[in-house]
Amino acid sequence: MEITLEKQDSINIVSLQGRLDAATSGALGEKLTALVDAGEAKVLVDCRELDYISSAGLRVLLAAAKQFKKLDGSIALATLNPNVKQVFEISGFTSIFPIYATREEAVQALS
Amino acid sequence: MDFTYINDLKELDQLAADLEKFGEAHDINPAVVHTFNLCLDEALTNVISYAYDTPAEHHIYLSMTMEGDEVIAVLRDHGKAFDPLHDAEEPDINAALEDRPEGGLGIFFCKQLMDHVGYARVNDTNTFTLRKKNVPDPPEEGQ
Repeated sequence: MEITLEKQDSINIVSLQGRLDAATSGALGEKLTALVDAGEAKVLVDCRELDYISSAGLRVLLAAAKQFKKLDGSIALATLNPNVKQVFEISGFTSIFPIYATREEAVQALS
Repeated sequence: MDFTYINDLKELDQLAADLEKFGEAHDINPAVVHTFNLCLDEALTNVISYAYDTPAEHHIYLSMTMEGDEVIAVLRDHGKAFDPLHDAEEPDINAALEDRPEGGLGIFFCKQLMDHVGYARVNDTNTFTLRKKNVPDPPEEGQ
């Protein structure tokens, strides 16, 4: 999996490419924890090129969301493909994370 | 089709490739292939992560078959006995963020998405079975 970080004003955009599973979720966890440690409170996870997510991926996002909440920060997700969205829906994660159809909408909401 | 994996999480990529191959060979709806990929990923991850006390290489066996329009997956391992249907905790999917436990979703996915989930321990072998009916792929728009 490829993880790309960029910053747009105060928003950290984390773009995921490939498969987020038990083999790859650790790398994402480290990147998100580094953002928390740096006091970065606004994070957008762009899933446009994320092909697949398992519960291991959800676990890392949930742990990060708990950390960002303590910072009074927010984490949002954008552009989930249908398979990824289905996994979010059946696990009830759609009520935990704000999810936007486009990256632009997510940026606007976090701004 | 029969596939063999070792106890290394890198095998999850191979699992995805193998299921693609099986899906293409039997003309299975990609959404159904994804469901099997997700549920078998969760089961295989559990086996790799928890079934073995020693770091030695172990083999895990997957058999994929069709029975009429039903897709059947059977995953076998010789690790510790573990019945995911009874030994795994049910997650509370309506809990607030702070109260959400960070686990237990894998077997929940299987129960939610499959038509049938079965477990048996026979001699020294865990056998985990998943069944789901293939559904025809909806025609693409514009056709």
